[in-house]
Amino acid sequence: MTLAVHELTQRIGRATILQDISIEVRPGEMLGLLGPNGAGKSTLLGALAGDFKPTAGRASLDGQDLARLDALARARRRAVMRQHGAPAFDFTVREIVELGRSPWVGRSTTADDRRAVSRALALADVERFADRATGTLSGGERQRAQFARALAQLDAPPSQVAAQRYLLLDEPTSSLDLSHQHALLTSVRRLAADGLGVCVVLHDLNLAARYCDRVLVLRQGRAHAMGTPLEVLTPATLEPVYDVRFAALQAGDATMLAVIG
Amino acid sequence: MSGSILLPRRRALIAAAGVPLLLTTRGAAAGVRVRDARGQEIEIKDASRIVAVGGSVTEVIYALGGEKNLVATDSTSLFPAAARETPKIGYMRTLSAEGVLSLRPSVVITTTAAGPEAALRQIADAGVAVLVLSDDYSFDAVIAKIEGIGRALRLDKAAADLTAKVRADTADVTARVAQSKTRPRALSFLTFGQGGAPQAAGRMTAADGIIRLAGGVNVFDAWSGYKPMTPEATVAAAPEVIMVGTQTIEAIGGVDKILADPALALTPAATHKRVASADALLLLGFGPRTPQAVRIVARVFHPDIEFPDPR
Amino acid sequence: MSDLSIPAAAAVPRRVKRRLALVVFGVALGLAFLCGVGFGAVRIMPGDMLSIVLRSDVDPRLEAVFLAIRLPRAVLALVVGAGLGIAGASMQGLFRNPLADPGLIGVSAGAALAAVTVIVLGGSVLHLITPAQRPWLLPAASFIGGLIATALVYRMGTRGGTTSVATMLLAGIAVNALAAAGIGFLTYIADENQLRLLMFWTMGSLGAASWGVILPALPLVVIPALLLLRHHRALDAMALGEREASHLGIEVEGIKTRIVVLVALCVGGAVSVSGIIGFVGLVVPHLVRLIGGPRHTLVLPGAAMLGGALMLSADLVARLIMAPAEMPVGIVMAALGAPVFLSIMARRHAATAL
Repeated sequence: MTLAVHELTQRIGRATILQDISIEVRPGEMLGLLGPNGAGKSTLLGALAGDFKPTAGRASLDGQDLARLDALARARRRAVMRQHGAPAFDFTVREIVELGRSPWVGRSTTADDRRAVSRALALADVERFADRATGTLSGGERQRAQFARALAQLDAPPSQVAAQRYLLLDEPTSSLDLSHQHALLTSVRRLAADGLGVCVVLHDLNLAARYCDRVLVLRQGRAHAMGTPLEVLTPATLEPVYDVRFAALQAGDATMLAVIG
Repeated sequence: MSGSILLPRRRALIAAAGVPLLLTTRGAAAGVRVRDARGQEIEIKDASRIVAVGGSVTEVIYALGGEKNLVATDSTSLFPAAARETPKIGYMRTLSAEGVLSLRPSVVITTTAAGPEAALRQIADAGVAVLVLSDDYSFDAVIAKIEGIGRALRLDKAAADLTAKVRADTADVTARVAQSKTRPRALSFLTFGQGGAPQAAGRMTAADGIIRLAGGVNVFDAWSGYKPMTPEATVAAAPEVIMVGTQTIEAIGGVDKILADPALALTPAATHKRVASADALLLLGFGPRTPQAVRIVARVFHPDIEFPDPR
Repeated sequence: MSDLSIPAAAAVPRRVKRRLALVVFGVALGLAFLCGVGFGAVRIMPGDMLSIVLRSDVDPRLEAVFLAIRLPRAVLALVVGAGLGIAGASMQGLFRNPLADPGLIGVSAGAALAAVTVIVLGGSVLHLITPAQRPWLLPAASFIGGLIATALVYRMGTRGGTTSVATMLLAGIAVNALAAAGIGFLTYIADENQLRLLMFWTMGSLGAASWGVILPALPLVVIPALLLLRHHRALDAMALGEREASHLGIEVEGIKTRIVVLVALCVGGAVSVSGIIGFVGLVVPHLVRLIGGPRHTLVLPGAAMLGGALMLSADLVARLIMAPAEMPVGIVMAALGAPVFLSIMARRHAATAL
């Protein structure tokens, strides 16, 4: 029961974006995708989301080919949070989060929807400005609103709870201040602990080290290293990928990586 | 449901469905029947409130003395001067059905140039007699207009008098034109020099009609309607006479200005300064003054022949 | 983009605003319709109107004007305004741009070119059809012309099953330019009579409204409009972006095609009987969003209702301002629409200048 890709290769024109990637997102686990820009992280997340049919290989959900499911079926099993600019029109935060309920039309009551939206607003800490138009918010607040939307989407109505769900996040903390970064990732960790399968693209190695159960490091479209943060996030493994020098520092029970050259 | 109450309402409902009105004379005074441009017989029961559309139609109405029943005219009805004072319903090609109906006309008299067709249909469907007369560019069409309008307004005596006069006048002009051994090459412009190419008159225009009646040849008859003409083509056509309305001449600033235009300067017409002009409505309206218009033009076409005004 | 959040006054819940807005638009539409049938060059008293409706005795002339001229015209104004309004809203949702308008996909340009072609060159074809069919030639041609132009734009923007909205935009610009060139040429060779007809058509007019003309055209506008209403959720989702909409379960490619087709039918149908009337599709959705927010559960029906109300009002002005003559309604709409549009733009500019 996983969301996975098998021997996935994705080419666009002459460029090979991903080469022969096989990974799986397991329930209850946070998988981090790391690597420099252009390494293929977002594309890999897109493959897991079912956004495209890969050049070679396949994506699967619970063993079934992801391409076989239509958009609505996928939407009921997984939610995606990406970075993007302001919506074209001035929706309020609440309206954006309500959009997260669209896959559940016909399978959820209005009361269920309202509750799901309230829960999502609370969890993403955006209740304060739920009825403000997104155009009046800061980048970080907008990002948290999108997080709330994804949460609302995952909040299955009672009749549908049984199926395993997944949350895919692409750089969810990029515009957030420090406290909100940790608040968001902590919420996600808690959801994972409740059974959600999570895959998150992160730029910040230390956040990955702190919150992810496993990480995959991509380099030029190939899997460079895979394993627990302890195993993978070492200067030896990472220096060839990022082309900088790292030093590992101990701070309490956490290992931090600092760039030193 | 008693018959006499039902009938008017039924009629209006049929009209509302867009079916052409069935004209019955039950319980009403007998009307006159006039043949229209499409050969249909239009019954006109009541000519007490007339809306006239088209300069020539209005001219005829005044000439027959029927103007006391005239309630409104269109924007092209400019002769006689009194016609300008009547209420205006707009341009004859862009009529508004409800607008015309708001004047409570009993008959609308017009020519085939009027439009849009949908508006005329709606007016007819509302129970108003709509008489559409032919706008052919010939003396016969003029006579037909006078006769048709005379009949519609029950002014047959006046119409007979007027047609007799027009026929006599026509005969006179035609005979004199026939005397000429020459058929000068003529070119007529509708608009000139007001931005955009000059619009020359081809076949099937009023100007073409006048040119032929005056014994000339239209150099631009390869086209129909008013079309823009290139200066080169004008020079190549080598017209001997230019025919143009006085309003157009005034708009440009005089005959000399026109003839100085590169399009015309190299033509025989400019060299010999042969320009035939008259008021636009007189010249091109094909109303009862048409013989006069032909006379004016013929004088320029055939300077060797006399065209005295009738007494 | 600053990192400071802008504090705002306590907001009325959008849901409430939406319901209120729908009621307001409905009332506006009702009032506009009553004015549209109640006023005109011919004075018909409310008492007489009641008699006509109740089928009791009344002057047949008034009855004819009311039932055969005013009523179909009001219905046409309502339907055309509603169709253009909802089509405009759908276009803005599809292109994710509040400045989009149905003309972007080329339908109006194609319809105009076809109509002008018929007006200027149609004389040679007229003898091929019966007089009874004559009034149909122009509307039929313009409808088909609109569809062909849209098909062209759509084909140019679609490759391998994927429709690029941005490419369609460019294709639409090209098609509009081509059509303008064609119309320009035809205008040049047109004679006096044709010129008048052509100007009349390109400025828009509801004057040809009679039951015979509008009854076939109504379903062409109404049915696609009703179908467009059902896409409110998809359009909301698409406002977040096509990828996001897909993640929310929307079949984006299918929706794009469907919306383009429905807008082409709806606008093509409207334009074929009323000529080109601009601004409705552009301005009305803006006004609706200003009042009740951008959720399409409001914007789509709201744009339809407000569009109908606006068209009815513009036509009223067109009929009364120069009575007994009438002004092309497209001119009135532009005269009303342009200042409204400018003030909307000025507001947006002020709001985002913080």
